[in-house]
Amino acid sequence: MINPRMAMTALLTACALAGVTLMSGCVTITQQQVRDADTGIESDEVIAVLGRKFHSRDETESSFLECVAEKTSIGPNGVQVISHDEFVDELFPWFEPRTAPLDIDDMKNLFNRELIARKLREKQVRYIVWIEGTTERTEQGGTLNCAVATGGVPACFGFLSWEAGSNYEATLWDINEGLTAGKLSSEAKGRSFVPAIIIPLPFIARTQAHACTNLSKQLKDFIDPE
Amino acid sequence: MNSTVTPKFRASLGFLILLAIAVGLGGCASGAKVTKVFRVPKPLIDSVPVVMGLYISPELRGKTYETKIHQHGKFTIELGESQEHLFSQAFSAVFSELILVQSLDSLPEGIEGVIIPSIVKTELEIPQQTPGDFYSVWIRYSIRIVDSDDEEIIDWIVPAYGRANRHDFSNPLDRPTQALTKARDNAMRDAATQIAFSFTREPAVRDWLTELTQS
Repeated sequence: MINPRMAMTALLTACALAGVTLMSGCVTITQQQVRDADTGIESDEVIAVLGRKFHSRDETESSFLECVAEKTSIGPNGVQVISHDEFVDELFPWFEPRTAPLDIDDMKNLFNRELIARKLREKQVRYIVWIEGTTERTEQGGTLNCAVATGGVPACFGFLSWEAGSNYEATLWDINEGLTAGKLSSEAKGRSFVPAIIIPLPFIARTQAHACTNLSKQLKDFIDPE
Repeated sequence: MNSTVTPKFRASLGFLILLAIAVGLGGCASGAKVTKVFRVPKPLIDSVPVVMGLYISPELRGKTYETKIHQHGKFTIELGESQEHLFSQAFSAVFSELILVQSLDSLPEGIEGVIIPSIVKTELEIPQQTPGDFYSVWIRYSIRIVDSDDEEIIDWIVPAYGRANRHDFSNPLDRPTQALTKARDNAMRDAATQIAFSFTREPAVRDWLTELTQS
């Protein structure tokens, strides 16, 4: 015979796990695009998705760069992508925080160096996509307390909530033409909350994931509009 | 089948669940030990047609940095094991040939000078000490160059800096070690960058190399 208390515990645990995976808070997305030049890409050409790294400012999370690289490379109009780590290693030390070109004119100067030009040709890099931005929490409030109640059963009570904003911008450099092709941005905002009566039930607004999906789709459509 | 769960077992289980929640929320940080060996690519630069020696002293090979941070534990960064790789990669790109020398007393024939690096100072910072989310590592190198007559050409100071965002590492138990490893690697990568980018532009080095390559 099944112990009713254990059955209840198992049910509540299952509910909590389902909550973590299924429930999510609302997210609103705003996107913008500025096109400075026509674009297009051949099937053997690749784009490099790079994060701006600084020694003195916030920098884009590696997980976001990996997400954009992955999502841009899949789907019906997916393009071949070279990741940040692979690209900066191949072109070391020209894309490090203290040496990376800040604008397309700097990039053109780099391209005048035969070693770098040869490496970019060898890798068939057509576009460099610079990603800037971060995800930040604001307006965090509430409290949540957990304790072991009588009989050894853990219980949590309280309410937590926070607002998260994911603001990212992508700048595209056309390496073949030596110009800035355009800028795209994706801004996702959402409120997450965790009510807890014995078991915490998280409703997480996955703003970064939404911003990644949106920016990746924009990138693919921007590079290859047909 | 009737299952029996003792109160003691339930209390232990409850404690473990609470501990898991606390760790999951990112509260636990009790020091870190960085031991992973560092790797850096060979810089993509034109080399100077000069044969140089590289001497890694036993002191540098055994270099370890340790510090205790109040309420956050002991932090250890092993530096020595990676130094030969760092300077070999960087200087083998700067010069057309680099020979590892075992002793300064008997230099191989044909080398124009010897590179003698050392670490002057190391510091680290964890996010709890700052308003930001970064683990930071500073390594201050001294790179002495002596010519084949043991005359000092330069004692070049390289202030290398690296940092890593704690949000890039998802496992809260392993986060301090992983982030500090990345910060140390970025600092050594920064040293390699400065060597590749700026070493031959130092006036004393530039003049010496000009003299060597024109003679």
